[in-house]
Amino acid sequence: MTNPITELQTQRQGTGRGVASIDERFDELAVASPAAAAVYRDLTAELERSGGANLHKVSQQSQRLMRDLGVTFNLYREDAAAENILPFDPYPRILDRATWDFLARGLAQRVRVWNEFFRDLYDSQEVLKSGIVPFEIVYDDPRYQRNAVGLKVPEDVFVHVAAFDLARDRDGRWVVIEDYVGNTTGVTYALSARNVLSQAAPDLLEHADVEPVHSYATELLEHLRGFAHGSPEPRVVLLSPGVYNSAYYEHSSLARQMGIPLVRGSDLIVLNSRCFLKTIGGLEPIDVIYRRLDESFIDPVAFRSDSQLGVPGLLTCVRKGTVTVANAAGTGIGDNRALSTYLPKLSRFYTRESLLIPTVERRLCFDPDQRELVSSDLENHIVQHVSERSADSVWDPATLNPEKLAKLRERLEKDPARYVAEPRLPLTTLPTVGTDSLVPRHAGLRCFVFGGRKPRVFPLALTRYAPQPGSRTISSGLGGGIKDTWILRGPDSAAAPEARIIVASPQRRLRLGSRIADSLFWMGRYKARVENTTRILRVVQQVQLENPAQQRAQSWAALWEALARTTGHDTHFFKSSPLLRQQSVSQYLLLDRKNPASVINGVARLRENARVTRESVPPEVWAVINRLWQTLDGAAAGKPLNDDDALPRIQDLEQRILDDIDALSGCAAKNMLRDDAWHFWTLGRHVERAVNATLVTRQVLLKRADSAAPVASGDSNLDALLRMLACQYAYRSLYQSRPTPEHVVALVLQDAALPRSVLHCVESIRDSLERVSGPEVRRRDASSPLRTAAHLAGEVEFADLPALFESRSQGGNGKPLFLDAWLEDLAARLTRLAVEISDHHLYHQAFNILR
Amino acid sequence: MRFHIEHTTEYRYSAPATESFSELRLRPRESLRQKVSRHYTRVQPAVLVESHTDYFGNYVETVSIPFRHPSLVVTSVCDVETKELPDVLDAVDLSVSEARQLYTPNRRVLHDFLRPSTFIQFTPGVLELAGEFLRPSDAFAPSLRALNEHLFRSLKYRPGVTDAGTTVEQFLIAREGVCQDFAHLMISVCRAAGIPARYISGYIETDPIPDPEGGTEGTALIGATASHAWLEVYSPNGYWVGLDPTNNCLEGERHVQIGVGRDYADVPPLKGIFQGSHAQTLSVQVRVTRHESTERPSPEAAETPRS
Repeated sequence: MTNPITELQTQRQGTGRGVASIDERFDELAVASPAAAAVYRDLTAELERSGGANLHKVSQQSQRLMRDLGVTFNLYREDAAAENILPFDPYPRILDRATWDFLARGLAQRVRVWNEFFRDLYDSQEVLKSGIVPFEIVYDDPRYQRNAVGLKVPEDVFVHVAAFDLARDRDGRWVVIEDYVGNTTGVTYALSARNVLSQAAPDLLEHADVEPVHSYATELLEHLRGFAHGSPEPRVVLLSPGVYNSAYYEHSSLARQMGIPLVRGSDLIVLNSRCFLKTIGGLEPIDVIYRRLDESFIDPVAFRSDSQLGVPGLLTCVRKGTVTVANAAGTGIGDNRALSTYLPKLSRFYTRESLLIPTVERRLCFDPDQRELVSSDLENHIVQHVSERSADSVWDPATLNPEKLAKLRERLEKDPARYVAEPRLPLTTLPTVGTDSLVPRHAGLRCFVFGGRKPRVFPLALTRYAPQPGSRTISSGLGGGIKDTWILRGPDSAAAPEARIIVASPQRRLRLGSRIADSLFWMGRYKARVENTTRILRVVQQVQLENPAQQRAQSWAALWEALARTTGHDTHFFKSSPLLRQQSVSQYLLLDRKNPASVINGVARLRENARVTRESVPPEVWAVINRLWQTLDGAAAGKPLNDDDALPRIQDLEQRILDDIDALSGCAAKNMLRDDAWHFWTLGRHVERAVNATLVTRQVLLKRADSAAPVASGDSNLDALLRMLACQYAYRSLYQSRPTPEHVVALVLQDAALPRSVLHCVESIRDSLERVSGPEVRRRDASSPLRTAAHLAGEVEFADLPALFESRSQGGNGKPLFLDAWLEDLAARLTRLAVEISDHHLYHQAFNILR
Repeated sequence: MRFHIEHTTEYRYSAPATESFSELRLRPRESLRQKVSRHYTRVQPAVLVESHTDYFGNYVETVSIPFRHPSLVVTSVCDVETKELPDVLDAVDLSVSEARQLYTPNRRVLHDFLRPSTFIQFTPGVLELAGEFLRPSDAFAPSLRALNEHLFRSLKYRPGVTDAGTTVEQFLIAREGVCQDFAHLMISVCRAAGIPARYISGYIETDPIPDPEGGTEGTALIGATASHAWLEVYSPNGYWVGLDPTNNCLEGERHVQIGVGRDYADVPPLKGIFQGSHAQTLSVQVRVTRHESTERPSPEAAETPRS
């Protein structure tokens, strides 16, 4: 076998004359092949031609694009400010064809060795029995998954997707500095880098014939579908830990590009050893799970039980072979740097080959001789935890103060098996755009491999660089930046393998995921709830202000009872509560974070639900919700609403809340597609509104617990009721007289043209359910909420209200008892309808499995 | 001895759970000492029960309930025959350090049972006991017996003080606890001294309760907890030997093993995740009946949290 490294070195010796200036400034150029060096020279000339101005412009433009595209790296914090925009440098790294082919061969070999290792480790463990790898390294690593021993995986493939970090030293030799064979990250940053560069400096790309990268996501999907267990239409999902994960941007953008659902653990359910995705249409069987969740979290019963991120019972599906998890459970131990150090031995053990690309020189501190080497020359090593990859598990002794250095030495003495040490990383420097000239910065390379029987290295790579002069910190979490990487096409450029066409006919589209639908449903409910509470509170306050003569609390009791009932309190709540001073009530109902039914809490939940469905909520809608949240959060931070001169502030706040709510309705109506997502948002709003209208009507009109007589015609409470439901103008245009109880009830319940009437809401619920249920689930299905909604709509529409009014109790207090009971029952059935919708479409209590 | 065992676990949720998934380790294992002639598991609500064998060779059943249920009741019923084996421990006439030498060829297989694990920690209190009872020059078998007896005499058996998450150091401070704590502590001390030790979950037939009518021949027996835990140490002659520090004895005919593991975390009888409810109450009833016995009314069931 020819040694590609010497091959490259020979090529280099043949050229290199006349390029002294940039070769000396940037050591990557000194080791680059002639083809790559030519492109470097071209680019340098192009960028330096117009001096600092051009450099500055390109650099600014790319930074703006990174922001627009939302290329972020989250730190584990809740606030949005924690989304960091990665630094981007427009000067690309160039790899010629020969170099790339060498890397591709070397990394494919590496993936094969890793895969053999996992196949053996989770089976008969020959490698440990023969002592090739000390068993302590494996058995003492918490990522060795005892529960995965004996599991069979399709085609014996454990590593479906891998990545490797490489460095190149000043002699042009490549070494692998980090192996990612469990959960790999970074590929979308590589894709974004190309995207940004081609927009910010399109003319640069004309200087070379560069491998295109756009098909990565589709090829990844084809690759993963190839591991499904005999399903003719394999379903693939991407399992993510959710929005707070540092790589969430990558998860969502990859899922979008692959066209597959982005799911969290609770979106999946295990039933009879099969894994299903909960959708609003039912349970969809899943064949391949591309997990971007650390494997110790994927099954809280089999692995860590302190986390709810995973899917309980997932491992039983893997055991039965009904689902493929990529990468396989158990590959996480590949993060162990000591194992990676044994890779050359593993390669000889399994394949009798020597590794084309070695692992970086690394000392294992559990070995007393190597530990001695490290501690005698600690300042010239970088110490790392053996398997942790976080920023605080790396120590550079040269930068530590004496106290911390002593602590590090103590750690190494006490528990040496937990540490490895490397001599300083051999990273070359690349030209990087500085303020007015090109400056050298250290950079590393990450490559991405599809594992399998014949691993394939996709012609795509990510270059990470250290923005600070002299620094070797290229990690994104620590402020490192990214560059595009150009792989030059050559005459022998290997064509991509032919697409694996698995389905002849187009697939049935996956329905909206239940969790997203659930959030939209609750967004609708909270939106309506917040509006109801604010409106009713405002009307109660206004009515009292307008009628200063009637100061007897008795007169308003019905209104207070309505307010109590619709905010989830006992009817007598305000009567017996010391809150009844109006200002305190406002503080309590609008801004009190301890009151679960307060408007501020409702808006917080509305916003939280919107946040987790960002994929389905248009940005304009999110912006309005955010504004509403700021309105309340700002008010809560200000003076409380319970002092004597608070009234103007209360009124102002109520008006702003209602304005924002109206803006939200309008914005959603204008911007949301009329798809499944829209229907669940609508269902939520109308369920809440129908229940509210029914309860308020009953409370104001009929249920005066301490009063003998029902509300009479012309009572100002009737007027208040119309205002609470925002239909006083509708009433007047229809009846042109003072309100009577009979007319008010007829309007509020049965006028389908009035958007707040119970009938309108129930009909809208029925129509939305009809749309989301699809043709296969019709009213025949006795358990379907559609049937309930259709039934309720008919009953409300044709209820004989005059007859219900007539049926007054004999000799009692004269209340229309039948109407009273009917309204109470209606409210209860509407509430149950909400539960039926959740059970049927969201929680799958009816568990209808789709076939 | 032949035993009929009925073990019922009930989870009652504060609000009905919308879905739940559980792993059960309830079937007694097969070994030289014991033979299971019959075993079945009944689950309410009734759903399909699947099974597999785990890393340590334990029989595991899994249960998925994808619909709303106010409670989960798992009943395991089995008939087991146990027999007395010759005393292999006292046949070992070696010092602790000689025994440790003899483990060397099996180091890889024994490794898991020599290292700290979830509930096994080499704390100062543990190291002190190891230094006192299992010095390298001490005789292997007598010192293990002495340690077994010392724990029995110096620590108090008292249910309700500790829970499933209690550490050995907490137990050493409280000085009272249940079988699980005794087992974890003794395993810790053995491992700290370089003697492989593993956790055993199972049942025990406890001493007869005097018959209120005056007789003393009661044979349907219920102990403070018939669910029990003890440990096995690996003897240099190639046998795992059961020691029961809660009862100051070696494992005998009246012990029935369910599962083995590094510690409790590897063999909880029931481990589950449920959704839709925030809290649960758990009640466990275990009834161990010796087969030869005539039918008697069931004694009062022990209803304590799983220790």
